Amino acid sequence: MTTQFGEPNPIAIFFFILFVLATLGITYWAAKRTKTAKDFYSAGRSITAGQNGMAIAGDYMSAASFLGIAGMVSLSGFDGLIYAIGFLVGWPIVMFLIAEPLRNLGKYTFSDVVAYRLRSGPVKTAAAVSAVTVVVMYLIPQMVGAGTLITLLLGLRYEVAVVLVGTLMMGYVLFGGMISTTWVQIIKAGLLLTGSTILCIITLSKFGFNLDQFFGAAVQKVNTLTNTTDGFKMLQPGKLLADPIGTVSLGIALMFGTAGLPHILMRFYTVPDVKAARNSVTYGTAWIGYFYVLTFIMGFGAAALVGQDVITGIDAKGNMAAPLLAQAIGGPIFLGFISAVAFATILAVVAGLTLAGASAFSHDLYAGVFKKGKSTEAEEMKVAKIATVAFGIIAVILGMAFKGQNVAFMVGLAFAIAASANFPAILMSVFWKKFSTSGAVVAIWSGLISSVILIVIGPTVWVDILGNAAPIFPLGNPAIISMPLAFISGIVVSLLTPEAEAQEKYEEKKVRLYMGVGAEQ
Amino acid sequence: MAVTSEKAKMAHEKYLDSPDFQKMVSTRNSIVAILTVLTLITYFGFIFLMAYGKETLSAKISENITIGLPIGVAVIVISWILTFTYANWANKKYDHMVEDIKRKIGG
Repeated sequence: MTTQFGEPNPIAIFFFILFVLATLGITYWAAKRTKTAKDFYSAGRSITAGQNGMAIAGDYMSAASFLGIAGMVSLSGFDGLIYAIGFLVGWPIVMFLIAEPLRNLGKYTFSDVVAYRLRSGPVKTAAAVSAVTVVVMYLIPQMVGAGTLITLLLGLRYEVAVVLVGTLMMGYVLFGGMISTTWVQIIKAGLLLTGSTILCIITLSKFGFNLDQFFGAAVQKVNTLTNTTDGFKMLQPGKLLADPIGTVSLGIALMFGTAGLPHILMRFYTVPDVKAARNSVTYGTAWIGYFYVLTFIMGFGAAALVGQDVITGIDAKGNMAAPLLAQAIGGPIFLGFISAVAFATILAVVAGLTLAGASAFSHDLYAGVFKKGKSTEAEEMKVAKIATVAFGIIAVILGMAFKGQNVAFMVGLAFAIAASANFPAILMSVFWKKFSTSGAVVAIWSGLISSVILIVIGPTVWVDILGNAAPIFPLGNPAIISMPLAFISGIVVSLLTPEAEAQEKYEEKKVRLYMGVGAEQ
Repeated sequence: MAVTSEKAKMAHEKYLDSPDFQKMVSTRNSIVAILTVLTLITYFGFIFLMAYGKETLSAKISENITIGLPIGVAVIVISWILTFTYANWANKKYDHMVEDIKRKIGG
């Protein structure tokens, strides 16, 4: 099978320009409506539950899931399911434990909630550092992915692609703030869900919508290619899961990390009230769950109709499985459409990340810590815009610096830090009266530092990247150690440093927590 | 910031001392705890099955489909049902409890 990868695809470029024009139009419209800090950070709290559910899906379904999981399923079959499911099961946790308290207690960022009854300075500093770390770790693979993807699909040079992505996302956030970011997410989610649905329907139609024939074709194709009877292993748990403790650790990171991602948590402030916040999770979870079922079909479809030899020929990790499937069933036109969708996916996610990163600087560090809440709105907005530009430039530089590097581990690291540094601090601040300022600071720093160190001395960095013979820490994902460590250190230090004022305020804010009385409008 | 005005303090204490408020808080916390535990059991049950129940998951339900596939999809569907269950309860029951208490006690 011949592929047109790496050559400019006019249809992809056409769809891509269409998307860019549409989103720039929205940004122009949004810019006129972005006047206050509330508009910039939280779209004036004017987003409906249905819109926010779609935007949550758009923010969360990254290229890692669209391209990565489909690729993983195409190469290792059933094992890819653990990622697909892991990325989804964080959502019930967000619903039960995080979304409503966050909306009722906070203003613009998750550190508002960690700090709502504690001493703001040290808590917001720690939370902002952790938020920025998570955002940067999440951002780097998206930028590198964007560069690689656009090189392969549109035929642009890597550097040109990275600068293009950086400029566009900076434009969305700088001028249109959360309003344009939200609508970019919504459009992207619509495109991604539509594109994936069409891809799956056409794929299944080739097998008369008979699932047994569909999976059978994938098994047969693997058998033919490898000249073995190993194809059936695609339908069984395999070697990816040989290490049960490592699998549980990854599961913890995926599940609780979702509940600690700064760009996702920010979305709950864009709706008018707690009811809309909760309903947006129901909608978002439905879209995300549906999407992960589709990635599974796309993965097996690529294994059956493209073949693992061709998939790994383009990209060893299988990341091009979904675009290759599009080409196999719909030729260059459909490949062009799916390529543009993949590009829109990355753009929307990096815009959300940039906004969250800039907010950690302007709202948490500048307004909350440096000015101790006494800055004017105009000053805070100015800092937010400077931080947005700085983030855009840093993202472009990092994207260039990590060109050709193995950065896939960084998404796992982002989830591990979010699960270890952010999630325990939010949970304890909301549900545990005796949580103290020192306890919060220690919980955040211990979760952050331990997860970074354990990743560095673990197999992905220590062995695969630094080339050492054996890892010092055996697990690929540290969450099984770093998350309990954050909880235990937070509990022990809080008990050692009782804070009467924090406990008093906890009681005082209970009415706000449970009834939304006095929540930000 | 440390000293709240007497009036505000009275207001929040009226709520905290009310049996209705206390009952609402404990109902919500119990429901949240139960649903969280169910989510954890569903997900980690699936992971343990993948790690230790390879034979079970590999059982064929047709020529080319193993039982593991529908179980995996079921985990996704159950997660959504649990999420929906909470939202539905909160929309239909919890919000009314909040309104009732607000009406009874007042601002």
